[in-house]
Amino acid sequence: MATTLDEIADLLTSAKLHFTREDKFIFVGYEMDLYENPDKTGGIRLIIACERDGTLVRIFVPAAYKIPTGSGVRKFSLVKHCLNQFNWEITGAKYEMDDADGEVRLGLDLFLEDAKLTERQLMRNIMSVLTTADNLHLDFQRALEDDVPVAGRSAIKKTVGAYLKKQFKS
Amino acid sequence: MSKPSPDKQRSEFAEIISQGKKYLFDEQMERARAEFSQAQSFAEAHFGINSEEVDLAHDELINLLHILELKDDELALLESLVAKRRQHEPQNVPSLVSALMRLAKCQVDLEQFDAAEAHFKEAIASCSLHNSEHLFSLQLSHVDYGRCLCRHNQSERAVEVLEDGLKLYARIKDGNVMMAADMAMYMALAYWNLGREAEAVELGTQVAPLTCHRSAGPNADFTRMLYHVGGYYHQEKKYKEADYYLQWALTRLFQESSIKHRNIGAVYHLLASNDRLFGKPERVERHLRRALKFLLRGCEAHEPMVMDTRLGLINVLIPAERYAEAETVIAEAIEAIKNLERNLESKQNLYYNNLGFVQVHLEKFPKAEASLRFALKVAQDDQERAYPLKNLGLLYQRMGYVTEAIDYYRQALLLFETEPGEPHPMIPVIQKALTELQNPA
Repeated sequence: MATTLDEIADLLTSAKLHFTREDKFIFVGYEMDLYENPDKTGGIRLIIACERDGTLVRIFVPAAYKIPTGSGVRKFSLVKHCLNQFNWEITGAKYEMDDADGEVRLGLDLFLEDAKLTERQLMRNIMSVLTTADNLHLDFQRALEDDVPVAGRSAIKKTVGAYLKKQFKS
Repeated sequence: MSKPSPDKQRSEFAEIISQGKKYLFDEQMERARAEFSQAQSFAEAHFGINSEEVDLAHDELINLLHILELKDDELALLESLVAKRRQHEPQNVPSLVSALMRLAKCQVDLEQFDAAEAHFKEAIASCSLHNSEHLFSLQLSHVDYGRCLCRHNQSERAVEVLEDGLKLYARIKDGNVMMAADMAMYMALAYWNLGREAEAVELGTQVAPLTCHRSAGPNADFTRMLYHVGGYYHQEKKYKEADYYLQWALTRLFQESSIKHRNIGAVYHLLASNDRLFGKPERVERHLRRALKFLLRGCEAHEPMVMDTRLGLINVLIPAERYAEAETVIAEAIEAIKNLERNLESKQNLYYNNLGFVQVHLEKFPKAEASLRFALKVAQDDQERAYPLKNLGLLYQRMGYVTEAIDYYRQALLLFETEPGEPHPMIPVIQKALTELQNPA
């Protein structure tokens, strides 16, 4: 059992979400708590699409971030490392980057196959994307704007451990 | 009759616990309590007083008593556990320390601080630095004792205990980094409470990447430290650093299980002040509006921080000439202070003057006149009289009443000119208006 955009629109209406419908997509707009889009406003634009005869639902934020035009290999590499680290840490949503233009996209794929899409399932997945956008925005922004690399917890543990040993050695 | 095998006993124990949890889920609390009590007796009889099973049964029972808010029962249970461990297996230090710590924490909740402190001290004294099996318990005792002292405003002693704990960490080979980082963060908080702000920020910023890492669960104390660091950098005019730590504090606040509206509002409020100085004017209004939204959910509408946020918003909207929106915010502010007894006149003067000013621009002239005359009526001194007079001049100028406009502008000019200090910025504005009125094109 697959789904259709009409069914998704009905589920969003039932969940009292504001959305606009186009031929092949549904757009959902959200005012975020922490995330800022590349225009530096607090809104996020989420796209919901149905693919492969409705057996795959894609929920994503196009151009969640944009590497500035003219950035060098170093910046691309730093952002890729950051995305890799985030994708390792989180479940559900994932980040991906288009090498050609530096567009960073956040989203998730929901393979329905023969399952029926429910409101709870749809909302859970939408919230997963939105929460990820908010939670990781600060670290992402630092990597993108200030070239501060993102570190995993185990690497930080070593640094902090060494600092405290040095600081409190009698 | 043969003795049941240990596996069979474990499975029977697990079944009792599972039945208790089922009752708990169904909110049949008395039945759940009976099952967990039975599990405890069963574990003590078959696995020994220091077994993991006893700990598990105790945990379930204590959690249940905690939910039921039966603090005295919880305390009695923990006291009996400690007594049993002291009597039967005093040599099993980690197990004894674990019971002592739980008892101490329960006593802290019951505000029996002296008794709690005695148990924290006993836990630390029970451990030997030379026994590797004790080191984890020793570190844990320092963290919990230090946290308790820190939360109870015993900051000087908290610093001593936490410093001991951190020195211990520095001495031993395989110390627990997470616990050491927690100790350092609590020590930073204790420094902050003692007014040793620079030391607090130095230590806090070094360990926050670990204690407040995005993959770690939020801790309200540590989030508060991030907020302090943000505030400190804001005061030090290091706006970029302030922005980072304040946003970090917000990220952590939103991750907490219960939303603390007041705290979130306070962070947004400070962030807005920082944005203004950091050169991010586009964010000021967004952050002020969010601050107001969260503060109104967590505070009274007339509280100083709420009023200050409204004033900040008014000061964004009026220069942007968004008078209709400003009028709404001012009207809300006036409504909020309507029934206040203290400082009423001064606040009324400020808001009615602002209201009159925006109403002039919205060409609501009769309302503007009433607002400005009221602001004048409640003015306490010349400074508070000067602005409504200037705005009455503006009102009559807009209405085309030249004589009245000149009269009010002159009265306002006199008051602004007699203010001590640097010449008031309103003086050239009024002089220009007077020139226009006296020499019409």
